[in-house]
Amino acid sequence: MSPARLEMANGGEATAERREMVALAGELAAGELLPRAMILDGGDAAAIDTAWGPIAEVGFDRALAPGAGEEGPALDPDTFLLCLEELGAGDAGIAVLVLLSNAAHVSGAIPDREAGGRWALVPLTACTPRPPRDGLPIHLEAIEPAVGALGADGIVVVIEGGRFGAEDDGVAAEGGAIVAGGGTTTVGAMTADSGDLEIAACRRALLGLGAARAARVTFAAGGFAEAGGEGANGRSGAQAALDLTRIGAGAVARGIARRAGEMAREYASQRVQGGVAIAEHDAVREMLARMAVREASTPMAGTRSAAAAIGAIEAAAASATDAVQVFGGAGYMCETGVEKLMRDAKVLELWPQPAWTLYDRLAAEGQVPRGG
Amino acid sequence: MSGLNGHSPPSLRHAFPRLGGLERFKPGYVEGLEELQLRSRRFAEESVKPRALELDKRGGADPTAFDWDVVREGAAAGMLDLCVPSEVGGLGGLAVETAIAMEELCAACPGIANIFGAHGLGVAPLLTAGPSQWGVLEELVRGNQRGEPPLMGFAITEPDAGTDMEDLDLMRDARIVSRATPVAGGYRLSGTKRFISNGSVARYLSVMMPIDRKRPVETCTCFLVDTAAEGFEVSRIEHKMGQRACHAAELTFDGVFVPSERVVGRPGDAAGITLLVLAASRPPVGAIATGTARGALDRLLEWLHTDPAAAGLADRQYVQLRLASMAERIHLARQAYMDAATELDVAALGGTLGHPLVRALGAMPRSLRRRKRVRQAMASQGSRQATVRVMRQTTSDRAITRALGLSSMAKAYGADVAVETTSEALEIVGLTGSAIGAELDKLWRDARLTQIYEGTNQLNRLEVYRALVDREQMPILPETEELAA
Repeated sequence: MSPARLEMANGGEATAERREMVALAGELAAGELLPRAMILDGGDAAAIDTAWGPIAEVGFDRALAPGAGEEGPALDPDTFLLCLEELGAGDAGIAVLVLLSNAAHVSGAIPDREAGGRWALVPLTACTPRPPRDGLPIHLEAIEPAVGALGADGIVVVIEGGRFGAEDDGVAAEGGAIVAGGGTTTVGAMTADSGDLEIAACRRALLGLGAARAARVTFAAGGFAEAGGEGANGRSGAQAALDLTRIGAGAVARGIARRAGEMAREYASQRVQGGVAIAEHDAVREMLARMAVREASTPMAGTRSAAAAIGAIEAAAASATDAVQVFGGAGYMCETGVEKLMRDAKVLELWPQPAWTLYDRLAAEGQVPRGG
Repeated sequence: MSGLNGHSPPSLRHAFPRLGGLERFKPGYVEGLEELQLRSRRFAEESVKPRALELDKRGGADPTAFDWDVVREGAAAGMLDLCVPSEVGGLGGLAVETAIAMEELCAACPGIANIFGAHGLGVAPLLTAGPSQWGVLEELVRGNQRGEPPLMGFAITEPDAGTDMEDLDLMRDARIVSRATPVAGGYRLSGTKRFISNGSVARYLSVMMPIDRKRPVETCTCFLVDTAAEGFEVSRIEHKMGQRACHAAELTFDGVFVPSERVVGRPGDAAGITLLVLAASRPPVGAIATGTARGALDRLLEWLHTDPAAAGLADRQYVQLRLASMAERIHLARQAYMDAATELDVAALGGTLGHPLVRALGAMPRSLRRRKRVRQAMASQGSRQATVRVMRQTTSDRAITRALGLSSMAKAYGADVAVETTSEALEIVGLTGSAIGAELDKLWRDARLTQIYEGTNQLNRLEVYRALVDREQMPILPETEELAA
């Protein structure tokens, strides 16, 4: 990312430290993620661990955590989003793991920050899973798919308030399942080896974000280690974590869009049809131009809103689709790596929740009127 | 409407009200199409749908995996004989029949359907050569009857020439590497073809190569290649985003010998013939896309009405509006492909298929047709010239160009509908570990290819412009000797 762009993204205040962190993220993406993109897409555990190592070493996995800066970098939100974009341009799955790890720390629910390991936030938003029963209490026997939870050392579950439309407050654990009370955003954290839960592979692999392997999480007797706001940051931490997840998804999407544009431009400059590079054909030029327009018009840093995130994700999906089209038949083949971008963007359109279900979040931001 | 609220997919007369007028085309025509639709649907439900997810998963892990059982079952259901002439034991259909079958199969699995679609594409050039290639077509039918179905494919695309090979103007500057060299008794083919559907499993391939690379349009020739021939090799099978049940292969030709009698039509006619074949094949691709979209909508509706996890969603206005939009676009895509298919089969080629000479050949007893001298006569240069004359007398470049324009429109529109519908279906269901998620993921991946193959949507739309807006007349039909002189 160029210094000029960094300055623009940060409203003109691109300090040397910020530039350095964003550049470092870019180097990690180019050196550690891109060369492994295909195998990461396949969810190879060893490759994910290898890619994760340098990220954890630099401290990107907890750069937003309370108390960050003591041993690793402490990033402001905008710089974090720019770093996430860089990582997303390398591999969106790994970028999502970084996002989920930071979101888990932001929630404040992790009992001991020194515990280390990779944490993953598991957000239960308005539509994952859908409320199947009337009234309370509602038992969640399992959460599936829990994006990024497979292979994590611990998870933090955040249940968005009001998702069951109930008035009761608080969450309790009963007989082997989480009982959600609705009405309040609640937080619970558990380590994978605690015996309180089982994290197994999801029944099916996700369409994209291969490195953010999804799990089926089932809960043993005892449920959450913590519930409600007691001893944790409670509602505000949980809400901040959820917000970060949504907004961070937009930043990852911008990385995908950027990578799609880079690949399409390079291919279009070299591929010859009709005696000229296909970049000379209007049909291709139009697609390349639209990709550039979308990239320029969907900044995340400095906006940090769910609405902007939705825009960035939709733009990434459109740009990735256009990139596949520019590649023609080769774009459909896994070897070129461009169809992966389309799949990654598609999952971001669905996770943490599809745009059409985000009305309440947009109302909270004041973007749309609240319902009566 | 298709499949709404538990209703079965539409009957043919319900889906295409104009079909009633086609009864005049030939007696029993529409009845025959209705029977084909039901037969195709039965095969799709019983043999294709149960295998769809498993074959997709298998193909994802190992691109070389291929299921011959479903091909055999499809052969028994008549899916490989759709456009083989009735004179040699096939159904005798063309674009309409293929399209109807494709929609039904694709509602179950576009990948499996493409095996049969690509086979039809490989057969199509042979039809333009009149009776000269009926011997091979009979062989295909006999193989189907024995339960050992031989597959075909159509090899056009090269590593450096994709879109170029499907447009006469672009072809002039195309970087074509392959070529056919005249030798005693025939030709030797050299070069590489890429992304060829069925390429790795075909018994025969219709292969396009120029005799003179500096004049590709004038010398492009279609060859019927026996894949058992020396020098033919499958160099790779691609790992694709979707439609994994059907292989896309890279093929290498290293001096593969093709005897003169296996030149399809006449040397140098293939560039225009390719456009005729595309005019016939693009409506079925529109149908492939329509079927894919319908498959997504049908599965979504079933999930909305039966899965407890979907409770309350169908009451949401957003969902209702999206469902209505999907139904609307599927209906229009269906009209587009059927309109294009009937334009070709009835308006453009109806006279050709009903020509007295064609009917006379059809009336000839098979035992007589199999005699060596009769076969030689049918494969002779004289027969090929006669075929060209019949085509010139009974249709025109203008008619075929118009049909190509409508076909390209149907393909491009249908492909966009498939991608939009599958995408929206995913957004309604959201991220889930259950089976509906897997099915819709797969259909979304399968749908994407429809915007790329058979010419990219951009190329198709340029052909719509040329044929229907600019009203250009493309030089598609081969020239008679008199015209060429």
